[in-house]
Amino acid sequence: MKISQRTKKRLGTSLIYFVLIVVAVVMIFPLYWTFVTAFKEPRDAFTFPPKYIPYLQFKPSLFAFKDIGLLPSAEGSGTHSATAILGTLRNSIVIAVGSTVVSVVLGSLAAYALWNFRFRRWKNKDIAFFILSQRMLPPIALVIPYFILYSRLHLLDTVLGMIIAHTVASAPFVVWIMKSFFNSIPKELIDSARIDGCSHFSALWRIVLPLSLPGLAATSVFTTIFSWNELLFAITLTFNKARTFPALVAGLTHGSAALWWDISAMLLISMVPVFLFTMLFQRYIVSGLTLGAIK
Amino acid sequence: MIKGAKIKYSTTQRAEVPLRQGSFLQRMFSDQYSKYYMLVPIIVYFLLIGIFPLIFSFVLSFLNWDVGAGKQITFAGLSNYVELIRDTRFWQTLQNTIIFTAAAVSLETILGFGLALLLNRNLRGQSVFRVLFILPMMATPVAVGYTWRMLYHVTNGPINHMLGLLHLPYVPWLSSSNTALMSVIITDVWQWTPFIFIILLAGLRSLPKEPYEAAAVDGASSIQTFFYITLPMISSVLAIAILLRLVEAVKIFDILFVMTAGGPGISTESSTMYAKIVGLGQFRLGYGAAIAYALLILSIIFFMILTKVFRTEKEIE
Repeated sequence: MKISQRTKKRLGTSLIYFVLIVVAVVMIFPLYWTFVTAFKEPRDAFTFPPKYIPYLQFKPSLFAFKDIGLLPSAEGSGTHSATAILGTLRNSIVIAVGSTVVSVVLGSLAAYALWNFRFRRWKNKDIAFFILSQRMLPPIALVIPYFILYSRLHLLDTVLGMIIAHTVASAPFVVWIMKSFFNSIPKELIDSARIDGCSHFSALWRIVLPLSLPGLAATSVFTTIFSWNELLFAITLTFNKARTFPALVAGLTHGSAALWWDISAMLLISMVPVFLFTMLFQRYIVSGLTLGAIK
Repeated sequence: MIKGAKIKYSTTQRAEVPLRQGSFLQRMFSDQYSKYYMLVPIIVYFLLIGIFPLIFSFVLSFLNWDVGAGKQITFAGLSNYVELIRDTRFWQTLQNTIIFTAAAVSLETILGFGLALLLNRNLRGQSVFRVLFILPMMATPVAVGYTWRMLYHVTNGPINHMLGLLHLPYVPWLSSSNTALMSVIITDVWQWTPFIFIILLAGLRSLPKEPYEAAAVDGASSIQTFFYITLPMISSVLAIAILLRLVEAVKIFDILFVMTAGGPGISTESSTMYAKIVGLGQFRLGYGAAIAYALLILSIIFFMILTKVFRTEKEIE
């Protein structure tokens, strides 16, 4: 039986769609599961057989959110307190924004310098390599000395200390991405501005940065997400006052039995901002990642 | 603003202001040195916050510094390193890390590349798939760890439940030291395949069309097209994506900490986790620093080999 060329092509396309849908389901399902579990009551959360579909298999409720204190509950205080959660969220936000700002400032300056100037004593390439190699440092080599140094400098458990630590990892990334974006700006623009009497700092601020706003957006998104998600420094260098949200969540099952509905609710809180960010800045994320990789 | 500068400007050369004009203070505040002023902050930052702690750690690794009641800090010479070589747990966790990295990155590359190839056609709903596919890598690693811990639960977890529906046997996943590492690898592949996918997709999109048209005219099969045209053209992008993934995978800590805390036993304990346990869990700061330093040296060697292999040094410019 001869299959026509057109039918073969249709079959091929259908097969591709099938695979893509399967992959999409695999990608989404774990996130869906967490989402759904956050809205379950304790008796539905961890049952056999597991319950997948709200309204059909279980009644969704806001119990978990009340339990962790985010919503007022009639039964009095729940398992966790709202102040702990909101406090750590606030810390995470402040640290993320802080390290983003510092990284972007340091990184953009350095990227401009490396792109625009020729250094005589050390070659541009070597300076760039020095900066970028900081990214390849395993953080574990820094955590132990940081702990000792911070405890001497009273930076332990402070937001400032965390900002400093996160910037070490973020700034090289900023340099790399911004330099790629700067590459697409003709240097003649700077020259003509300078002939008109513009300093380099002005040129950077007024010309180069506005032209590379997508790059700024991409790097800011990345550094913010990185800082938000970061765990190793967070659990070793913070305890109570500067505790970040991932660190709080990480400590949840090391005590008593796992309250999966509570945990899922907290996971949602940590995931939702990042997802919103992703949806909004999707284009920038993709262009930022790819411009760094594709010259 | 640039007083009395003699600007040599030709069509082949960029204007360069000669240095050392004016007095010391004039020069310091002029625009001439701005190229240094722009670079100095980040360099100083890294020297203070990156290099100095490393030197400090190096010194630490030669000390005996166990934080505890009444213990002195003594000079230990090489004894920390000797202990390191004899430490089976160190080698075991290193092996775990290597297996994890090799398996995870290979799978992520193959799957990510495959997905990118699949999506590189003009299909309807492409951008929807793209957004859905990159969601996993945006989730917090801590969240991913807990989520998969729920999924992997042996009796109540959805994965085993679905396996049961298909009449397949249950897998102990995280509760058995035979399968725990594999389970964690699967989780990492789930999270980071989108990373390779998105980079390769953009790379594939940016490839020129002419070679493909020429190949079609010459009657090349799709397999031939792939190996002789696609692969060579995409190789540098592929190399960078793999390199980026490798850099992150060897540092793996977050999902392991949350999913298994290194267990059962030490079957999912990574090198980073071991160094952290020794240094800041048992508070043997000297020995912990030695472990961390050994890992640092190994990482440096590993990455120098990688950059030689991939010849990506000029990409760093």
